[in-house]
Amino acid sequence: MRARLRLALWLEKLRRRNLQKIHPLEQLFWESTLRCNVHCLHCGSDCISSIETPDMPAEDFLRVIDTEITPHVKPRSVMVIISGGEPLMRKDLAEVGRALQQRGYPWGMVTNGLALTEKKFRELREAGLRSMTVSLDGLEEDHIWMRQHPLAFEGACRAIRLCVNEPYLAWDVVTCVNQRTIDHLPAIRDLLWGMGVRNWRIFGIDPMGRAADNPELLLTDEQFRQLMDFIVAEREAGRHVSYSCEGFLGDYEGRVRDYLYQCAAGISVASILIDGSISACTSIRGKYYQGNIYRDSFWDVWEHKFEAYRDRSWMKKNAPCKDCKAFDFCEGNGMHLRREDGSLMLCHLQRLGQKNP
Amino acid sequence: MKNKRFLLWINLVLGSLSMFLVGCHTQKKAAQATQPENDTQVEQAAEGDRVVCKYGVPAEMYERPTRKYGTPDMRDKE
Repeated sequence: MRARLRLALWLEKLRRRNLQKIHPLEQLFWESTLRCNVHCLHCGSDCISSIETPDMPAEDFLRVIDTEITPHVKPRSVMVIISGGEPLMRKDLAEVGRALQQRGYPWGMVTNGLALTEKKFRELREAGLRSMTVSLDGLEEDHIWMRQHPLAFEGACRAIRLCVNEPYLAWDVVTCVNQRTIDHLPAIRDLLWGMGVRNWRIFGIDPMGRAADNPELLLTDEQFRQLMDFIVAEREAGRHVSYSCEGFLGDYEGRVRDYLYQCAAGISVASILIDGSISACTSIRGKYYQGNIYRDSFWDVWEHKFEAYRDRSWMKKNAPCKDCKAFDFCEGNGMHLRREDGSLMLCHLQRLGQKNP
Repeated sequence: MKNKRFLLWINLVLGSLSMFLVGCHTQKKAAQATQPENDTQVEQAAEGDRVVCKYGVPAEMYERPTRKYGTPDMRDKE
């Protein structure tokens, strides 16, 4: 590992220690619905249970915002991200957005674009929508296969076209790459850049949720390195392509993202899930919930719980972290990759063949 | 509160230093400064049904998909 990178990672480690002490709330995810209009092969949001799980009433979420968060933060410093399922399934999405805007919170959403008409887009913009992420996972055939809906590609492209040239909107496209699409990345890039996309984030798929039993969705280690090299080359060519926030990437740190790796779950990122559970990122489930808004004070939980997120030394008990010299920089990889028993599903360093750099 | 503010300032310095060392910020600025060679092309792509592609892939690949599956338009339905 080059010396400058190592020094930068040590500085980042000090910064992370401070952040763990302060834990400023900067991003709040709201899992507004589990309903969805597509049936993605890789969904980790447990959308199987969408029919039985009712949407959280907007007033419950806003009550938490008003009584438990606003007294303790500057609203403009907390980005509220509405996620799902598919947030556009909620008829009151614009009303919720407007309520957040009136309270001074910037807000954004993640969408598959299928239900995003121009009328709905304008309505959301007038309600204060400040950021949007559109999911597009490949060229037409592959995207439709991934999303299991014949209009999925058309919907995503329409959403992208609505975002292009829209003033004061921070937006990007997210692609979950898999074995079918890894060799199509240059063509996908051409499609996106041809449509006017200038910010593209690429994710691998983790072996969880619906993807756990579908090996075609999971990249091999060699393909994962291919993905890293593609992103490095794109950035060197001046295109803003990034890898997702996930995973410590060893020698690729500083080369595939705009920042050095840090799992911010429970440190600056929290979420309120569909049933009121208080967690960090919405993909962190089960044992790692910290409370519930229907039983606990969100702010008390944020201030005094999340110990497992803010002191990750417990992760060193298990392989592969036990003897890993990169633990100081990595701190056990992303929380969402921890199983209920604390073991790690996936080590990015091992995938890259760089364990103990 | 003072301690918190102090730590935030320290973090700002640490973050800036680490970004400087690895050049992340310069990469981001360079990438964001990249403009399409022909701005008109982006406008055309946003307005029309046809996506124009200048990176070597035939534009015909990206013509507006036809509804070959016979599914009604689901855009306004939940």
